Amino acid sequence: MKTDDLENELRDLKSTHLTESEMAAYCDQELDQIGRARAEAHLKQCFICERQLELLREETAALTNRLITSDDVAFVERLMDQTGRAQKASARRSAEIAHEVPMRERLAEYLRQMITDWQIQFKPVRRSDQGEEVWRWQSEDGHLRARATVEKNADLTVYFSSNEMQLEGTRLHFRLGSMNQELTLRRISESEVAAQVAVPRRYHQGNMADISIQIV
Amino acid sequence: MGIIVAGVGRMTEDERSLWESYCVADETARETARENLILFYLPLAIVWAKRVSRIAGWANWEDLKQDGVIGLMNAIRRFDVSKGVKFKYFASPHIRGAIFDSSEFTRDLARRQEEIYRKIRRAEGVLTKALQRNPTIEEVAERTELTIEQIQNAIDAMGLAFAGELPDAEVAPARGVVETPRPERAIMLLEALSQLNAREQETIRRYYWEDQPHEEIAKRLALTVSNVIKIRQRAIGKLRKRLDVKWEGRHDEDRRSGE
Repeated sequence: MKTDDLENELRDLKSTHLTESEMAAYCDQELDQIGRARAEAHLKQCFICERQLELLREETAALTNRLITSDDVAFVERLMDQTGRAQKASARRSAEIAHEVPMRERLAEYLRQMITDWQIQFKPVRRSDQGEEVWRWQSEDGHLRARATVEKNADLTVYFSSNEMQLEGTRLHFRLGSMNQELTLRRISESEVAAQVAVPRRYHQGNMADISIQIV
Repeated sequence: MGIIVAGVGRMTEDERSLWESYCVADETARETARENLILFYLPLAIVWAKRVSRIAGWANWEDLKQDGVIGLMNAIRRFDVSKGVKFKYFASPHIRGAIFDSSEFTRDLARRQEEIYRKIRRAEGVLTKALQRNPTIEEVAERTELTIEQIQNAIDAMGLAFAGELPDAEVAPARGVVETPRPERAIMLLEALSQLNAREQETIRRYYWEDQPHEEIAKRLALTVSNVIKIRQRAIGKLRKRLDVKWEGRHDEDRRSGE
């Protein structure tokens, strides 16, 4: 490597955005000396990272200077009471829906919940994850399940399965960033339909939140 | 002997005690422990409700606060103490999600803010390449034809995309939860930099990131100019050596895996 290239890379580090981990570590004063210096050099000239850091600090300060009033306590108690009752009603409703709502509509709802879970729970894939399961999801009533594993070649495989045999033959459109693929739920045993999609490494190194799965 | 719950090491004393109570509580005590946790982290939900309220003046404050707390409750239910993640980073996307997902109006608001945010990031990327530095907010506003307030609102609405866990040992979480991708090369360079000694690091920092000439660095570090030049050159030599070895090693690995 030429020295000039290396020097340019060093200068470029100043304009490279902080990752979320770096931002958190900087906010909590957990970066090492050179990491902190790099972060500060970037923050001086990047309004996006600077603003995001302000937001993190706002959250940290709110927790540090917390002042909980009796109104807050009453508010939380009321809400816990309401949500406790709502959860019981929701469980009853889920059981009812399982018998009343057409399968296709239920699947659309499952997929919506699955995507939300993916966006919240999916971990960034690291080199050391190869061969490991990195995400698992199941609908509350257990009718649809999904999981993602990192293969030895660093591709990501996403599996879907269900015991609802009515779903056999259902085609899904899977999109992750610029990757588009159709897959079909096929019978794999007397009581299970399943489909899987392989996401090449170059696609799952982008923004994993940019995902959609729709019924074709 | 006290009960030790794995993963609470990164928490404050107050947090640790609350999570320990919650994790070991039987069913009857669990509700009280849960309420204590909700009250402890309530300010996080309030911060988010205020943030959204700033962007959407039409929204009902009580509703926003309530939705935020529901998100917080959901985060507490899902949080795995043993993973060693800080709860505040884990909870934030849950709270944000619950507020924005609560009604068609707020969902629509979130969609619009996300579109604006993407536009900002695209413009920022283009301008960074063209200017060879990060652009100012005014430059991005001019290019995107957005106001500065619109830009700030979009950044505020997005929050940080913490993933469920922080990567590495110092790990961190996600909204639509995924770490900003960082070029592997930059990670290696930062790692290599952290191996330099303090004086070399300081010289690199001043020269490359603060644009200080050798003379200025020499004055600040009470060294001669020629010493500063030597230190910088030695540091560059060490970095090049470390990176060449690692970079070539990586290519070898890729070749072995058939890429």
